[in-house]
Amino acid sequence: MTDTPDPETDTLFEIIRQRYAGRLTPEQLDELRKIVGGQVEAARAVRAVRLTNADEPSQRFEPVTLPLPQGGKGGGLA
Amino acid sequence: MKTELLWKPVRELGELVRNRKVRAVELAELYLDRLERIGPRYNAVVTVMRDHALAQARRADAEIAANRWRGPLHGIPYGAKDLLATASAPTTWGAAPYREQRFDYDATVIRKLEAAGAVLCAKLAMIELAGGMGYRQPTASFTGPCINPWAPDAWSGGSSSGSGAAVSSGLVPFAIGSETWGSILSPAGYCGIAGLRPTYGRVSRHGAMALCWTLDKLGPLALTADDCGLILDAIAGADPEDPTSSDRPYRYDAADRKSFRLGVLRDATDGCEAAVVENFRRSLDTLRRIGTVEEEVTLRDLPWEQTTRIILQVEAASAFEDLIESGGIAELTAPEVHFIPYARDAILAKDYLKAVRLRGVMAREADRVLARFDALVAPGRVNEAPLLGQDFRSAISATARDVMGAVGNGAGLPAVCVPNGLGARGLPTSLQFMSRAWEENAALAAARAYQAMTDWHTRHPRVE
Repeated sequence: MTDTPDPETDTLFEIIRQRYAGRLTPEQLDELRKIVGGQVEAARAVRAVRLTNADEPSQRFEPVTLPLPQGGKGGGLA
Repeated sequence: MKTELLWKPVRELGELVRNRKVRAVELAELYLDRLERIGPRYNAVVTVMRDHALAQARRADAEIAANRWRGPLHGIPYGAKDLLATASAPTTWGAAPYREQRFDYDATVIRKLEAAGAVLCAKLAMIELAGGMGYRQPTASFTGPCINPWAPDAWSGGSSSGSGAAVSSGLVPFAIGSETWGSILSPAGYCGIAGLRPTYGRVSRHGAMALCWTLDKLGPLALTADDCGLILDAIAGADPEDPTSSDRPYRYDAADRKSFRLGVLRDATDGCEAAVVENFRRSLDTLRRIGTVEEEVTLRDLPWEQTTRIILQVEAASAFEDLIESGGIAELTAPEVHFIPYARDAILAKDYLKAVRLRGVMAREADRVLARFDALVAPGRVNEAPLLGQDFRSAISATARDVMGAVGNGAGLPAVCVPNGLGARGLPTSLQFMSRAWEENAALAAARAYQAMTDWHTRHPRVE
């Protein structure tokens, strides 16, 4: 975590400030800025690794077929 | 009371029950009494389930008397971390906003243990929301800080805090905990007992509080690695209610192995207390009696901790989006989690997805290295249990290093933690064995072999 000015950290922290400042003390906001700085550092470490187009997310999604309701036709979103 | 039964491994208790040397009801009463009488001393228990337990124990006695023995857990009392849904008791997730929460069904793990004949005696304390909001000190539970049975001024570890303290203090012979990053190994290590983090997907998460869908694992805490294997055998398996559960078969293999290939990462003791390093070196000397120990093993230079941390922070923030955005986090006990979760709104979706893509690279790299070994060995924790009332360092909050934890949890790998000595303050230190995915039996065999050569698992805190 860092206190050094950083445009990306400042921009992302502004999102937090806009959304939640009304709930937070100045001390908590200061702490959150440091935490956001740490998150940006972690993101930069991850971004620095080159992946290939074939490196898919390690998450599985399976399309779903629910059993039809009794009486015939299935429902669904309009 | 049959106090000589306390701190006996599940395997021994199971034989006594099977041979009707002791009745399940006697065992249940012994442990229920301790849960009610001693549990509050450690803030280890949320709900004692006396009536439920005695009913299950009476049924076990009747079945065994009728020669219908279900297996080594039949008639054995246990406790469950209070993030597992149970129809017979509230499920609080350790958090004040959920202290009245009830479910009308049992988690799959609870149902599997019932099918194995185990006797659910208590819901055990935990860090609120399994620590996923970014807690920094042991007080983060609406039941109070869970106290380490080895020292009244020390924490039991978390987030499966009560599971660790209860087994260590002889309140239950075994417990179920959960781990997203460190939550089984931490209380097991700090409380001087065994803990098993299974492979991701080995045990159904159905009915368990979701913290991080792609990181959460359920596993046992017990007195020995052997007991952990017996318990995993009962709770492993596919579950249609949890699509991430695997249909790979699991049977615990308790057969002794003659020789092991063990590896140690180059930076395995970085940041460890001196006594932890000393005990670890002594453990390696012991392990050389049963195989080879290759030191200076290296993993490819990848952002292991950052990757696992980003996945954890984003998934936890999403799982509790309503609580965070509504400001309900202000009702949580730890003051720091009244605001820390807001920071996660600033993690970009692209960075989360990059982490999830990178995790595949990490998993392949970890397996490439682990394939040469039965297990990687490392200190279970970098320190003795932290003091109550103090902030502790954590890899999740980026204030400490934990490469083994980041690799193991990020890649979904199994690990077993067992005690390996005492530190400068007289509290347990620990040793972990981490194996390839789905190779719990390899880690368990190595840990069992270590325990066969040492007696740390036979030492217990002074409770009475």
